Amino acid sequence: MAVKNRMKELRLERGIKQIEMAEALQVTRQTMTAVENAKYNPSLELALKIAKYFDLSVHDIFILEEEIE
Amino acid sequence: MSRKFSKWGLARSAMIIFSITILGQIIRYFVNGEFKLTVITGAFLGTAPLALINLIHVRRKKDNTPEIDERTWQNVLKFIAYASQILFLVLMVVLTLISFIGIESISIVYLWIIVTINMLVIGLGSMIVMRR
Repeated sequence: MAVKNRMKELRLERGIKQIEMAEALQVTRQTMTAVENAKYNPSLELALKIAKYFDLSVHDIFILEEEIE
Repeated sequence: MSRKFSKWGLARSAMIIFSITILGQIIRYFVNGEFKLTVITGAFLGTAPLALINLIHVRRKKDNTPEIDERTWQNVLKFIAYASQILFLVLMVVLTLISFIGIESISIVYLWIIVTINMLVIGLGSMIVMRR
C-alpha cells in the first residue's frame, strides 16, 4: 500500500514556492521534491510539520492508496 | 544540532583532524623528544582545502535550507550499511584467493591499505549520497 499525498496540489493552490516551503520546514529542496512525487515517505514529525504548515490534518494531505479507490 | 553549527561540518572536521595532529606531535615530543614539522605541514595541506571548500559552499548558498535532513541521513545510513557489507564481501573473496595461492602471512601495510580504502569509499560515497 503506497502513500500518496496532495502536497504539490496544495502548494500550487496557495502559490507557495518549493524552496519557501523547504525553508519553512527546514528540509532540503530535494526532499521536498521526493515527498511531493511520493518517492519518499516523510517521518511522522515531518508529516505533522507539513500538516501544520498547510493548517490541515495529516489525513487531508497524506492518503493511503487503498483509500483512493 | 543548530543549523548555524551544522553548515560548518566539513570545516569543523578539518579543524578537529588538524588539532589532533598537533596534539599527537606534542605527545610525541614529550615521549620521543622529536617534533616533526612535516607532519603538521601535511595535516595543514590536507585539511585546509576542506575548510576552504566549506567556506566557498557556505558563501555561495543563498537559501536558508539545511545541508542535511532526515532523508539525507537515511540515505547515508543505508549507503554505509550496504558499502560495509560489500567491502566485507570483497575482503572475504580477496582473503580466500590469497589463502588459495598459499600466502600465509602479509605485511601490516596491506591491512592499512584496506582500512584506508574503507574510509575513502565510505567518506566519499557518503558525500555523494548526501547531495542526492
